[in-house]
Amino acid sequence: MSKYVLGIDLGTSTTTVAVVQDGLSTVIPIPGEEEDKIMPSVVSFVNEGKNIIVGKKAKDMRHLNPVNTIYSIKRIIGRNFSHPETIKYARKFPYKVVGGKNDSVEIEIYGKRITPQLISSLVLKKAKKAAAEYLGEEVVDAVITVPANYNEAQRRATQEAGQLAGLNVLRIINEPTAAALAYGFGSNRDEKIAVFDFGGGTFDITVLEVKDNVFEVLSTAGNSFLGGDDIDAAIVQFMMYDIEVNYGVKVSMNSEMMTVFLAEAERIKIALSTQDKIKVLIRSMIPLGEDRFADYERIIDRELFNQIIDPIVSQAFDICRDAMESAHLDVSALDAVILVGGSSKIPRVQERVSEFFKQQPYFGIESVLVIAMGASIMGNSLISDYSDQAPVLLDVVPLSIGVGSVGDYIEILVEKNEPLPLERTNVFTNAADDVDSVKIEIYQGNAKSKRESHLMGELTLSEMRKAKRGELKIEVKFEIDTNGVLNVSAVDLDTGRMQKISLNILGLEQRQ
Amino acid sequence: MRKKIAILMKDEKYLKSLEKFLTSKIDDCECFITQDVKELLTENLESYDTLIVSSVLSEGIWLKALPVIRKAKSFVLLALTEGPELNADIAAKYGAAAFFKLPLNSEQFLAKIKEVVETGAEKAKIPTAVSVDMLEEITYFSNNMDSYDYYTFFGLPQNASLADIKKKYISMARKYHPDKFRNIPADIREKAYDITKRANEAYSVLMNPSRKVIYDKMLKENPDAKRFDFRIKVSYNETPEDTIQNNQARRFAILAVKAMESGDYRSALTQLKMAASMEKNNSYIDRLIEEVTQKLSK
Repeated sequence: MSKYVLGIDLGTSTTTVAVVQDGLSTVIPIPGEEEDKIMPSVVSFVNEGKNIIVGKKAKDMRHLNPVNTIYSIKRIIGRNFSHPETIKYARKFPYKVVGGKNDSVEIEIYGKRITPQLISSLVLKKAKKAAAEYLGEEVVDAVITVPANYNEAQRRATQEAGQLAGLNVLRIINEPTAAALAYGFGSNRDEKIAVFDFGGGTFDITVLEVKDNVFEVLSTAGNSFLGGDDIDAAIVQFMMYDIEVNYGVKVSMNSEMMTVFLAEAERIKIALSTQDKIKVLIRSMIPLGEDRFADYERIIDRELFNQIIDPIVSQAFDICRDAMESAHLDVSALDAVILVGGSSKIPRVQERVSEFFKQQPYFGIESVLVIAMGASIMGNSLISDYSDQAPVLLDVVPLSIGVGSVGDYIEILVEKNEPLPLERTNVFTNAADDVDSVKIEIYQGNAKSKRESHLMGELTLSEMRKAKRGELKIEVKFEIDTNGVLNVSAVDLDTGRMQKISLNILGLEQRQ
Repeated sequence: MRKKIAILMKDEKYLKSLEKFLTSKIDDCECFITQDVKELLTENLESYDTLIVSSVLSEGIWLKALPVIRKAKSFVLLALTEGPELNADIAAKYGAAAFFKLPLNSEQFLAKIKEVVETGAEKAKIPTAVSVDMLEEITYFSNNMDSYDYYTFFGLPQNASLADIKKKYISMARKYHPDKFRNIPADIREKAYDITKRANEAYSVLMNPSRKVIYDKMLKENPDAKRFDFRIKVSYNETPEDTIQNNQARRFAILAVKAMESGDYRSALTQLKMAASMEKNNSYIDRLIEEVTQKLSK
């Protein structure tokens, strides 16, 4: 067994890897990527799919090969195909998102269907390879981070991506907790910390209490469809209106134009993180009719930029308010606010963080590296000997889990924010004489109504003992492990025998 | 990591075929074979993940050789048809990780050996990982925890304050959280895992005022019941303050909690009394009053 464990931040837009060497967390270089360490989570299939390009080179292919270049896969991994957000993104992405078995999401490349898990595994494989080259030995153990509000299917899908990449996923940990670990909280301090994670595709706010190396999540809230991509989209939206007003042309975007405008939007966003204004120039894209095209030119200054992005940024603070409320804390009770994620680099975001939390946030560690570094620290402690100094992560149930009851009602089995690991039991019975199987719908969400929750999957009790209606008493044990993954087992209370039970998670292909 | 297996067996033909079988089926595996127990002594047995011993080594030789055999991280016993009477229970009593009777089911045998080799590698880490005292404590605790109510489990009196419960919970998490046992043999790890699950369960009940009331009542009425029935629903996702119906009273309670946090118990008591006058018989307010009164009397 290697003495290393990889800490991997498998992000919506970029992926980074770190490892603890001689007690210190080090970001692993990935040559040829951004700053030689930040790898875009992009996979491009070229030459009829015979060649696969991963990382920055793949990102560059977004212009040339939009249909076969997969980015932002984290937005749809582990999701149901029929989920409104999936449909929204399926329309937006230039690549082809199709429905697979069991309401899963698949990507069609050159007529072949592949899973989002496979796309993510290709990114992970490259990270793993870079680590092997850097360390001079193969490392298979890994800790992978996920957003705190990731649901069951998304966590499982991430684990599966790791396995496909040949990794042994020791632990799935929440991104904000990783960030707090990277800053060395916990060692000698007793503090309450908010981790404000505004990344490429997701936003999360988590409130942690740290004492004696115990990291207790007090509350977590987020939106897995709010991030830098939305800021880019808002900028593109602005440019489209601007063209309509100033050039009198209503532009309808094709995928090639969309790619160009999005790339420009990203450039604007990054430039205005350090400059006060920028000249925008998009050549020959505004159709004037008869195959003539005009350039789009415009100066965007910080103030205008702030106006464009404020509606997006504000959404993050609505979520912060909820998180503080459910942690029963006033912002004045916080000892620190940590900034994480690429979008946290935007000055307007930092300004509003200071305003909201009434204190200067921490961003000493590069916000796009901090999560991988924290994950590597956790990984290192997992393979170390039992120690009082090892960090203990007390994670909580991110979303309530319940079973479908009559009408629109859900009977809650496990409530949100209960500490993990845990187990709950519930007794089910047969609704008719001599039935062979019973199906139970499992919902995940924070509402008691089916309409407002997410149908996570279905439990099937099968090969049931013959009995009159209501006579069987099957006790089902729901166990949620430290990774937040649900396992079920069942026992027939009268015979004491194990009852056959299976859990089918929608959005993932059924496996044995 | 390279796996090392030693085999001690009298029948040379069988010995060789077993060696061939294992080295071909287990990746990166090294076998040391011998027909003589004395030869084993010349080897550094501690470095072996497992030792496979046949019981036919003349009359119960394997028994006399036990101190030698036990130097390996784990050992597996094979009962040959012509050997002394052996069964799985006896083998387990002597500390064998597994026991097989001939003829072997090669698939089962291989699976077991692989498992034993893996746990053997883990077992080797015990001395540096967790102290023997700790192992005993974990075993004792997990074996007995079903007979504890949540207060006994935490070692706290029924009137313990929320802060005390939390403090105890955190200290148990530091001790037993499964993340700390990743590098520890599976059986110990599972016990620690069960303890953590129970600690979380107790914490979920005792920190939730509505659940705590139901639980305390249950303990009083039925001393045999130890665990909360989570099928009893308290109002969903509520904060302690949510149990207070009267808006004014709730505001006073929130102010009181803040005052308590800053150590101002006198103001807290005043505010709580205001709250109690507006909403009678609220268990959360009553408990806070009790807590504050206790603090003030100190």
